[in-house]
Amino acid sequence: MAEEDSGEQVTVIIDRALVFLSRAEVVEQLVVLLLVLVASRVLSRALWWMIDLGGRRLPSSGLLDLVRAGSAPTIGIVLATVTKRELEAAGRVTGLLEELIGVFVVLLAGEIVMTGLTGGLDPAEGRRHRRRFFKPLIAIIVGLMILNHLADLGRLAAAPAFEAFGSPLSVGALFVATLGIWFWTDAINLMNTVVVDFVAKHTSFNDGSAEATLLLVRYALILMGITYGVGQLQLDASTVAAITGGLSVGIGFGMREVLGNFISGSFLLFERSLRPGDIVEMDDQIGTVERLTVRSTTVRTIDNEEIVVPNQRFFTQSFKTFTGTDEKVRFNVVVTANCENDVEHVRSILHQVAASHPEILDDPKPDAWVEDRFGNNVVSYRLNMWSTSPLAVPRLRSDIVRLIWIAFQETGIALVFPDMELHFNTSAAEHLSAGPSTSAPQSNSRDLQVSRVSN
Amino acid sequence: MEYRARRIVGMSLAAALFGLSLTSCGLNSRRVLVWHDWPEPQAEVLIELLQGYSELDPNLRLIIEYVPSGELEARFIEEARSGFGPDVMLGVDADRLADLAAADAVRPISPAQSVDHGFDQLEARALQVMAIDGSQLGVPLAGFTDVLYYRDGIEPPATLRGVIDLAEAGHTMGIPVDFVDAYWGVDAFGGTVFGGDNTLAPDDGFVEWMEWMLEAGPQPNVILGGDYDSLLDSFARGRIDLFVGSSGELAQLRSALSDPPDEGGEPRFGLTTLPGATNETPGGFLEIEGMVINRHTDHMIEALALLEYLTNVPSQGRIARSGLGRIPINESVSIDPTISPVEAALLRQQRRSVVLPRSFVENLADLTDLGNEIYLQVARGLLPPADADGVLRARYDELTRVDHG
Repeated sequence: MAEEDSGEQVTVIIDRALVFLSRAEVVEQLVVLLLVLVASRVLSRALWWMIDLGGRRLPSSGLLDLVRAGSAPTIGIVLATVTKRELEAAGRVTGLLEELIGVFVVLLAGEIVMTGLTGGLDPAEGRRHRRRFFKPLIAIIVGLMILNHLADLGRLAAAPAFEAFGSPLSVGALFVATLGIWFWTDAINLMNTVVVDFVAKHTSFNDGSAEATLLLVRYALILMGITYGVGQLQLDASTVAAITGGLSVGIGFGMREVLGNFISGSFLLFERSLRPGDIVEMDDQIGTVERLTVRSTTVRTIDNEEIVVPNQRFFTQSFKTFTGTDEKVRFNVVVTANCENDVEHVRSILHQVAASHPEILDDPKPDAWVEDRFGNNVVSYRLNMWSTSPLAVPRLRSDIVRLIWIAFQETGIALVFPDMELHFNTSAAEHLSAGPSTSAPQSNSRDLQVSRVSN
Repeated sequence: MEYRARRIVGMSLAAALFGLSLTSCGLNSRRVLVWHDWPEPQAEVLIELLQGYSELDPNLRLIIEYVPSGELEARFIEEARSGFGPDVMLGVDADRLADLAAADAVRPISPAQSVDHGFDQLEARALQVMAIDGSQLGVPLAGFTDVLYYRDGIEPPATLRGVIDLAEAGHTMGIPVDFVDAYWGVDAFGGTVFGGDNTLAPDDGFVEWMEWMLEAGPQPNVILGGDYDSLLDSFARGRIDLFVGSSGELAQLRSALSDPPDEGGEPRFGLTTLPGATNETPGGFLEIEGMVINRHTDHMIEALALLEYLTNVPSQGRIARSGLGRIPINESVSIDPTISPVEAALLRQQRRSVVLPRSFVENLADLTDLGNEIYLQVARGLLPPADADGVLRARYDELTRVDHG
């Protein structure tokens, strides 16, 4: 049989549509089908408007979300079934209504699955997956069901759409290589989000490790999908090689950075030297690794700023990580006390203060070092402590200083403050004692060192 | 709201584009969707005929689609349930007519329409095959029946005695002994197995056919085989000299046994009528390839006109001369045996063919299994031919009693 191109196939589809649209039975069914669709939608909305007490939406819950999502298809199934029975009793054709019931069942099953999958996610994330994955998928299923009546799908899929690299590209292959890859990627992303969410909420795994592993699995699956999809195009390998070989130099220069980041990202993922959830310091900023993709890494700072760092930087420059092999981090607080205080007494109080804080680790133990003795009659103490929360260090430091202050006050240990030099401008002082004046202070004022304070 | 507005605008544009496409396709043309199951290259003949019809009526647009024969009726039923499907379906297996009728998928042709379109002039037996309970559900397009194929240089036998003589002379002959494919043997002895009211009544002809098979079976060059396809393949490869098979194999054998092969050269084989017990030609079952009209078509007049065109003398003559083994069902078609000996032999053979009574069509699979079993038992000497008729009748009665409660 002669091969038909996609243009001829489109003509056939239109011709067939005209053949069928001239049949009273088909038109009647289409009208009924449209009415059932509209009625199910309207009834579902009206029902939920009443349940939601006139527009004030009930609080979200798993079961309620499921019922809400499944209400329109369920009403549709009931309406279509009742209508089908009535029409059958009247001797009318009802095949399309039966198919509509099938579509509603698929929709209901899809809504149940989607609600189950995205129920635990952030609502915005759930809506995003519905919009990007579920709704287009349902639309394509319905579209293919309709198209199945208008065209021989097998022949349509085999019809060449156009030629590329010397190979004819069939409609089916293009479909797989574009929409197929799109849905595959989105499905993988959805599953990834769901699994990461599940792992974070319901298991004791380190979610960073789980996320990094899933990221690798995700990219492997996406790569497999792309390879399969592109493979369906059955492009002539030698032509593709010749053309891409010629372009490779230009692409190499133009996309050097992109490729560099891609390769760096791949290594980072495979080496697992950086994982989502890691706490790192770059450019004097501490932050948590939020997302790791093959091109860049997103770091959220403690000021809630997102920094997008090209992967190449992590690969070619040193950076500090607080969570590489373990998450313990050491920090310290320096206090000074009068040299007349008993050193061991002060140290014991510092130890007690550190031990009293629940977020300071017992192992390694906190330790107070004596740092500088006798200078200005003071002794400096450095209290070294360990924590598992690098991002909490500034807060912990504040807590410890406050607790030391209280402990020293309670035990009568006086804190020593550093020397202070005060310089007074005497002419200004005289001027002030003489009363208000509009004249400015003289520029030949003399600075005086007034006192030296030491306790 | 912005998204919704965009969606409404998008849908309106799509509807407008679709409307424009429909308009540009010419809404005034009448369109008839035709399905057929003629594979390539056989379809060229049919498409040529249909295109010829389109030229007769420029305002009629025929949309011709091929559906593999194994899927044809099932897809038609499935599509017709929703009001879809072709207006006209060509290549319907008469055995599946009951399924189409049960699904209420076809529109019967009234006696008046039959007369108006000349269907009453077609061969009565073929027309009868396309009717159920007096309702004409379709029209025959062409027929197939069993014929005798022979290799070049061999004088084909006219009688069963001649078959044994040829075998003794060293020529190998393959005869499928499937109950349906070997029914011509019963007719060769002037017998039948069919009684009235869905009962079997094998007569002496059946017993004599069994006895002949028992006599011919031990001949080293007579292959009484149950595997039709392997015998066909052996003939196509030149391993056997004579073969009894369906006229529908003609195109395939022409392709395999032409000189040079596959290039439309001169065929290195011939075809003739089946050998009888006497010089009278026996008949195998007549297999009808029919045409039906979709119940939901709104182009009944065009559909009937198309059927009339395909069954008229010129179209039937074209089908007969196509070399596809399809036998015309228009009795007015005449073929000059000196110009087209093969086609003339086919026509002669068809005139002798036997129509399987409609009441047996429903139980054809059971009947075939049972008949095959009886043949096998006779061939192995487990069942005397004289008892075969009684066993066949009793077993079939038992079977149908069980089936019908």
